[in-house]
Amino acid sequence: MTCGEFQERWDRGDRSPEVAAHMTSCDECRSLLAVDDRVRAWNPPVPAAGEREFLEALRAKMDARPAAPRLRGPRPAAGGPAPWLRFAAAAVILAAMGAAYLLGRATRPVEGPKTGPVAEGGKAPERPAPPVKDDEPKPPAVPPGPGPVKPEPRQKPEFRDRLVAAASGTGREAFLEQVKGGVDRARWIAAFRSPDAEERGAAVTIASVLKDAALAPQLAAAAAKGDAKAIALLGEIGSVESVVALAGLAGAPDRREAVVAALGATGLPEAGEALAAMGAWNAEAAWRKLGSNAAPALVTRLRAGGSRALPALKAAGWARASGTVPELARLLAKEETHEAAATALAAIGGREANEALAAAADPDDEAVMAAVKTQEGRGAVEARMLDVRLAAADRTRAARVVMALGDPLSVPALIRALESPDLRDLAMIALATLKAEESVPAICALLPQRRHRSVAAVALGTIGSPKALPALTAASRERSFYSEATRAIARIGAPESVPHLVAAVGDREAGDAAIEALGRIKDERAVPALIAALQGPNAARAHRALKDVTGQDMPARPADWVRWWKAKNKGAKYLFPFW
Amino acid sequence: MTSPPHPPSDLPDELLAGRAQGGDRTAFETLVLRYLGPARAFCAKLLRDPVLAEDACQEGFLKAWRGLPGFRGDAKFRTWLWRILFNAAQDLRRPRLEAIGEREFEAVPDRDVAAEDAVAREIAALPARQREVLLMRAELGLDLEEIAGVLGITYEAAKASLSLARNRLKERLT
Ligand SMILES: [Zn+2]
Repeated sequence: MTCGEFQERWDRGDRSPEVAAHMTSCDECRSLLAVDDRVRAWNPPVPAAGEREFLEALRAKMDARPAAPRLRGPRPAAGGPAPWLRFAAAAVILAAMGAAYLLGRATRPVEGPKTGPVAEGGKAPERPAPPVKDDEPKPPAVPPGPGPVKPEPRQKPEFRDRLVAAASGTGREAFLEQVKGGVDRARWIAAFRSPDAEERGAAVTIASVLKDAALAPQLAAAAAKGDAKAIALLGEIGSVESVVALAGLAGAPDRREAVVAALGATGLPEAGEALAAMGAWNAEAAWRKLGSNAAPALVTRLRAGGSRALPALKAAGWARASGTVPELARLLAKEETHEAAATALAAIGGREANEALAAAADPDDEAVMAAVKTQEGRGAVEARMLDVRLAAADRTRAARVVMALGDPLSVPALIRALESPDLRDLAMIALATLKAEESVPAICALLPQRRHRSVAAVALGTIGSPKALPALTAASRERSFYSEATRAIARIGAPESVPHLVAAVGDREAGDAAIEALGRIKDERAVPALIAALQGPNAARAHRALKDVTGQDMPARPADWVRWWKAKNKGAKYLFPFW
Repeated sequence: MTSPPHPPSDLPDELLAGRAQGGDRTAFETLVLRYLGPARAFCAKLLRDPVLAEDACQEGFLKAWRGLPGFRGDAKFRTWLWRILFNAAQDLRRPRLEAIGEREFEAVPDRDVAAEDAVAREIAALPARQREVLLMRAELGLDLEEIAGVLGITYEAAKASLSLARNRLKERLT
């Protein structure tokens, strides 16, 4: 037997051992029956009255009705349902036992003090009996009357015509006045449930003019019968009642889309709950419309964590629900939800969301890196980098993120980061990558510091601004720093550095860079030094540079170049400083 | 309060109903007390409004009392009673609004659902028929045949609605 068959037998009341054994051992069946348990466990507000009060109220009603028009004074013995049987029996009992006893017994609990005449009768059992007997048979002739509040018979056609006409515009003002004044309101209300589609539609149209929040149940009734306009109108009304009504309509697949859109249109937090309950996680437009009001419903789902939180993460981004940020930050730290949380936080934006992103940012983390690429995100990362209260490791990580982001707008923050010894090298590299000329003075100021001067020199060289030359030239006077400073000067490649570079052509560590730079600068003052270098370790480089500087295409034979140079400079005082 | 003593409460429904048909009000009251608890819970869950639920119970039992002569004994008493109670609750849900004007609007249930817990919300979100069937099965313990009888639907429809309701709630509540 399949699970379905077992369930059916169970639900038919079959409690045979076979069925019971399955229902208690099968996980699937048990989890399904657990639903019943939860339904039972649900404890909504129940009536406050006790059983006794309930019974008393009921007795009063049981008595009230048949006693109504004909009988004079309280006549409790006739207060029952008054079926034939009952009166036949009553007559027999009356005859046998005496009416007074019976009357007194039945009267007291109900009537209390108002038992005047009957109580008298009780004192003289024999006397009242005959009149009672005479009266008794009458009640059965009175059929059980209609319910206490029955609407008067409705003149349907006439009202229907006016309603339909008003919906199409004819006599609408007058009709609305009447409805507002309460005249035709009840009929109008009834029309929402009419089996007549045109009448229903007309009732909805009138509702669309009035937009009364109290109409939610009526619109729900019309919607349940298939009026799409009623669904949209529930959304426009946007009351809690309309949300509830919409939620009640969500079950039918063909209405689902309209219901989702209408829920979004209400913009209420309750609509978020309804959407979540419906599992409408892909309803992007609806979530967007709910905006920050979606937060309460989303937070509940996000708290579930893991894969169960994933759909809500997407919705949180669409809604840009800033109330979800703390939960999103938590989910950002979890691998399974990391990426989706980053996307949602990026979509939400704002200080709090960006701070959460910045805190999690790492250059290797593509999801978060994409999320902090916004202006706000970058700002948050920069703020983190400069926040001296944070641990050095966190600040360094932030600096790496800033560097990886590579946004020129980060330059001011990076310049400020130069003040922190921990971040200095990183910030200089970042500034160099950005070719941030405005940072040159600040970096130059670091050249005297042994710990940082190598990186500073490389950074200055990369930035390539001649403004750095005085500081670099000065720093190069220290012998141990000469090569590094000279390489930076060479990379800057400014004409005013030619004497320095010519002097550096023979340097073991900076010579190659100096030669390259001279080749680019194309200043003829470099020619003798370059000819001399044709016999050194950088011969090929020097040859190339010579050709670039002079525009002559000659082999790398020093003698040829010397001959050419002498011919070109007849009468020059000195030609070869190093020879 | 000197109510006459109620008959022993372990008598079967049908016997008490027979006595009530004969005019024995205490027998009927025994039946009322027997079913009041589940009736209140059922109506409260169906209408989600304690005042309406109480009205529905009062109205339902009153109608049962008045309708007792029509109880033939060819159906289980409880099926008969639940049909009357359910119809009374339904009446409060619907056409009451037709009868009287605006004041009635406020009495419409289904408010404050968001404040209730997930089960309430999910039950509220069920289509009416599924909700009714589920509440009858879970809350009243009626079997499928009885549910079909109370609601005036086919056995298959009751079975399908129950299955849909349970599966949906199971999915939503786990
Ligand atoms: Zn199973």
